[in-house]
Amino acid sequence: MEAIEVQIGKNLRSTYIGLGGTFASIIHCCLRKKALPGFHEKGLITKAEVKDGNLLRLVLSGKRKQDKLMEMMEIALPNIGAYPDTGGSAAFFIEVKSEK
Amino acid sequence: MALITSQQYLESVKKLKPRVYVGGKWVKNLLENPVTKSMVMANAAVYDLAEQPENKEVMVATSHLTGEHINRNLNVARNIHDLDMRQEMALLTSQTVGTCNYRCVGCDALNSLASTTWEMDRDLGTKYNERFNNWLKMAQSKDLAVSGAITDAKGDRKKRPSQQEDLDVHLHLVEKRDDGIVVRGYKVSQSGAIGAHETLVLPGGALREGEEQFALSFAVPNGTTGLTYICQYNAYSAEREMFADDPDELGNPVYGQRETSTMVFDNVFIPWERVFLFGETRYAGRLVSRFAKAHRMNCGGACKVGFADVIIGGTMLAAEYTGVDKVPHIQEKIIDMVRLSETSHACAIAAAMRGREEPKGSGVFLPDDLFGNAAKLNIAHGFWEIIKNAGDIGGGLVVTMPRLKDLEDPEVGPVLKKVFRAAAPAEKRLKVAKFLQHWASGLHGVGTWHGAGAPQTQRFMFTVLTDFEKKKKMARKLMGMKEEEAPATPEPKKAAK
Repeated sequence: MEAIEVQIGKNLRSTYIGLGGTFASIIHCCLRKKALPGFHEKGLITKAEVKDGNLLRLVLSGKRKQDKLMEMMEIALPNIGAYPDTGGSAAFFIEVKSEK
Repeated sequence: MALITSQQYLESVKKLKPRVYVGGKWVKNLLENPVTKSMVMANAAVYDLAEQPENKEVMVATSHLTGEHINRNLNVARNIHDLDMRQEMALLTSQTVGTCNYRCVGCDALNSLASTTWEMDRDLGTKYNERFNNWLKMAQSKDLAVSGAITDAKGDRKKRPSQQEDLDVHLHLVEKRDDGIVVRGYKVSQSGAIGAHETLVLPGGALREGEEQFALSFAVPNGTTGLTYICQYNAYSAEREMFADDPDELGNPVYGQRETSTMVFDNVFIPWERVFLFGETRYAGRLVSRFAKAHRMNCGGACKVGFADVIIGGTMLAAEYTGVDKVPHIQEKIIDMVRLSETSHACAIAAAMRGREEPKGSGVFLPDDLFGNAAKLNIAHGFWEIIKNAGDIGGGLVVTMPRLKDLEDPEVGPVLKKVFRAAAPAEKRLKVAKFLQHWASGLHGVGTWHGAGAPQTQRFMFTVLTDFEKKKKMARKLMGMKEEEAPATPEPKKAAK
């Protein structure tokens, strides 16, 4: 299993757990298909990059508040087979920001 | 949390955002579109059944992987009792929702995978069974709704998959990567993936050497990017949309007809941890035939019997409301309906009772193939007879009735109430006529014919599974005919000199 931590700003954190390969699936969706799972409109992702193999940095279009970004990730993760977990040490991270 | 409630399932659906197209519209919320909502509500009702104490034995099993109580839709049959309860579940769910248990195909697919991945690991030294069990443990722990996708679009039937002009008519590999595979193609006539969390994908049929790119099986989360669902659309879909605010007007108000979609895989990534068959063509046919073995018992011998039960009930009400329930030929026709459906159910029970471990050592039990095929073939023909009798006894009203709402119209309502009053008020007669219309003029006749494979496949299986020589031998023995007196198989004719 893979634990993935979503990081928004300095304080918002949530952890999801999915089968091995879930993080690779998210990377495929965001980098290759340029779409966030569960969101089908074009142009939502303005920037997506992977750092050190375990950190995905996402910038989403428009001006969105942090709690809105978290709501979006709460939809994206289950659509790729990752479900909320109680926490613990994550091996993968997704940093989400809104376009400024 | 190995069992979730229907409410928890519905909460999870609010976050499921598969890319779904229904009749010219993209569906943003599965619970707001009346067509997709009917499918989701049927799934919710199946979750409900597992919560009801009187249905626990049928709906709840014990996981062989964790020892926890799980929904039987996610259970691998480990003995005869499991098989028997599996077919009883198909019966109960059909009686309850009058449409698909949309987790049914997934259940039979996972049983086939449990058996075949074990066999591959034994024969080939692969790790598919370990992967599959990890996936299954996760699905069981979350009580996920899992659907199944098997049927490829197939294209020109004269050609093999790799000879097709468009390879996408069979789901196929486009890229092998270190972290997984990328697939594309279509799966058709798929039941209920839109409201499921995951779908198990199997090959559409047996494959030969050289067709490795089509020998794929995997589990895919249904909201993943690149996957699109184009839903069926027909008169019943339009009617459901039309009466979105007044579903009582419909034949099956809450759960609908039966919702399927064409799944379009546009370069979808599947990580290795979710891949259970990759190029082993020899095992593709086994995966499909073991799925069919399970599904013919459940779909043919139990699910459609549940449908028959509610059709028979509706037909009897129609007879009572018209005042013909005591007429001998009506009673005879109802008995015929019972005979046809219960014969199939008997075959399903026999298939379960004669089930066996396959392969030996795997711990996975599959139903008897001959009885499962008999169940399906019998109901494929019997279902037409059943809905014919429903239409016969229900009368022309089944297809000539006005809207139920018209009874409330200030101008025509009073007339209609007089016209259609018989041994019961017009409201009751029209309500039951609409219910029978849903079955007799709906999608289930052809659905029953093709579901779990068209009857020609069962006929073929009969030729494979029946020992015809043994039957001839028994006949000869009874007649006192010596073996040597038996007419020899004719020699092929020699060319005339």
